[in-house]
Amino acid sequence: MSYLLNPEVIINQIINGLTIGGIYALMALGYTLVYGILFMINFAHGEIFMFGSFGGFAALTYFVNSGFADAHPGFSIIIAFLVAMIISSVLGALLERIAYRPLRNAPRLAPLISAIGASIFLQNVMMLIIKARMQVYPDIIPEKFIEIGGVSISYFQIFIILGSIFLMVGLYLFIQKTKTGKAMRAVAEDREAASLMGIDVNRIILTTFVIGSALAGAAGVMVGIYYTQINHMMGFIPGIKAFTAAVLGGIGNVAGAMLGGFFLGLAEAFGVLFMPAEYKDVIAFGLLVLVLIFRPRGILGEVVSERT
Amino acid sequence: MVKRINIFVLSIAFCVVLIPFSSSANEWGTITIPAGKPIKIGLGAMLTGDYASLGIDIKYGTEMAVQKKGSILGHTVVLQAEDDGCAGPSSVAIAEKLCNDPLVVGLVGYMCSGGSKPASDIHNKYKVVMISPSSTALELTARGIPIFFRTCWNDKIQARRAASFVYSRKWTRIAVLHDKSDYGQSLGEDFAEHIRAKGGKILAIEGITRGDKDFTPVLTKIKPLKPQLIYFGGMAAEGSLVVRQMKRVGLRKTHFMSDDGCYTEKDFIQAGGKAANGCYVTYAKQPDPAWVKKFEAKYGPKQTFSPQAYDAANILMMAVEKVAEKRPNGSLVIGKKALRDAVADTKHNGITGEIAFDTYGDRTGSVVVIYKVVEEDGKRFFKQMIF
Repeated sequence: MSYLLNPEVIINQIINGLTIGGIYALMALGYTLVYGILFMINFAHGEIFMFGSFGGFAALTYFVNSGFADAHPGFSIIIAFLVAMIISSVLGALLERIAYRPLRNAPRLAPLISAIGASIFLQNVMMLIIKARMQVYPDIIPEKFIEIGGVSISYFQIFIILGSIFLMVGLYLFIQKTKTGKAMRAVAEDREAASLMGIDVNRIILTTFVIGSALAGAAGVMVGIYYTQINHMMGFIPGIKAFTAAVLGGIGNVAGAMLGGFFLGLAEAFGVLFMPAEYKDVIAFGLLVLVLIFRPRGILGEVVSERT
Repeated sequence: MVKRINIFVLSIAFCVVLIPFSSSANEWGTITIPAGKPIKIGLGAMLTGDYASLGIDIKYGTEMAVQKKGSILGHTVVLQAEDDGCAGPSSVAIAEKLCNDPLVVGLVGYMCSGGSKPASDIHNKYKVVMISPSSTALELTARGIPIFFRTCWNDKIQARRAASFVYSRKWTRIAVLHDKSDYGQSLGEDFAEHIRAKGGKILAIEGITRGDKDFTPVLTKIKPLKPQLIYFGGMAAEGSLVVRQMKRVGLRKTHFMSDDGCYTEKDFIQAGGKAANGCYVTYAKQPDPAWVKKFEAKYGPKQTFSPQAYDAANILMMAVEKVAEKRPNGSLVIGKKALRDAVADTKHNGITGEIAFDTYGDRTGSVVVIYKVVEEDGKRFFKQMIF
């Protein structure tokens, strides 16, 4: 086991864990934002992420075929991110309007079932579009590496870690500093009181879905560029892992979701060192079980009074 | 009373005379195709999902054979393709469905060893012949199932061949990854055993999960062991990610070798990008080039097992033609045992070479060849290694 405590291995695993953790964190934010306001789990969030990934894929493929990507590789990736975020936001907004808003005052189980239905529906829509074949993101920018001793870091990994932190800081500032952010916090605190104070609750809820979905769309393109393979089922496992991350950090808590995402990524990367690699998923879901038993409100979660 | 006993005795005597008569000819029963009904050839392969290019390739190969044949003794032959998802439960469901379909005479498949293994028990229950073009796991033919045949090789041959190639290159520090499937795991473990027998060192054997995308943690774990080669038992979707991520974690001088599951241009060479260059895979000899030309004109680039599927379908249809008896009312009667025996006695010069089966249902004299992914004149392809 001594080689496992090799500093090079540890640094590399930190980078591996932070990379996947950043993606989990971006997705976990979508779960947590919606939960904070509506007290419902949006199980179609993984599919919003998947649609974003395919949106970015369509944009990049178009740029490669038209030759635009050869001339402006960086610019095409930025546009791919925008396309993905727009597609995901529109999809998130549509879901809210069609699948969740009519059930807002229904018992809690109803929107949950509606979310699961939406998730299956969206998977099948994409399956019909892509003929159920795995798609491969084009290699627009050749992957470069920084090597220091035995540590190898890919520019893609740095890009994902910094990109996800950048988006999270942006979100945090948005929630803390803007008027809409303040309104979101108010709605999360007490929906009726907020509406009595003149806040348009429907608009705020829609905004929340749009923001959470846009982050998922960005995560989708990151996954596409980094792992290259995408398919119609790609949202399922990351969706559940991100949900785990949100619960780990304390669902409903924005900072907790970020922390939970990175924590889960690191736990997976380091768990592999001490256990056979096939137990990677066991580590993630084992953690979920432990948290639910010993600290159900999560790392940063506060006790929320049950509302009916 | 006496009369009744007499009738009773008589009927028993009649049955005793009749039973051996009927069982000698058709102890497994018969398949009857009524006049005007088609003969159905079943197919079980993954048609949607991560390994769909392999399954669709198998479907194209079978379809081509069926369309070329057209009809047997006045009955049209049709292909009934089912999506088995490369997994046990769905293969079993499809096996139950097809074996209970009175028009199905036999099946090409299943694609994955993990599906073929449980499905062969169902086929054995109903005695419906199955010929797999692609299930290579050793145990499939070692379980005494009389109705299972394959036109591919078994993994004992594949693992031994891969190990002797690695040995000839003097690579002795080896790490093995597998995807925990019936196919990948047994192949990886067989390979490791052969390497150990030759005096090589197996540094690690690690499993990964099918459908996972992130293998950097396990590769980082393997990296300080400084392997000269990573052998991967599994399919192209994961294999192409492993080669990409080997570069990412800094395993840049380590060679990569895999199996027939990675012998696909679309999902390994293209999906692996530049990282796939220099990787080794094992697969059969190239099929008849004239056939490949015809196939590619119709369906586009050949992936992996379409030639084996084409041969499997032909063997099945030839056996049906041989044993089917035409009745005056226009129906066809096919004895299940006779059909199985006809397949077992196959001597066929197919597009993948001479085909005959040994007593276990394995193909005799199959040859596994080593290929390397090379880039020449801007084209990347599998090049046969002289070994």
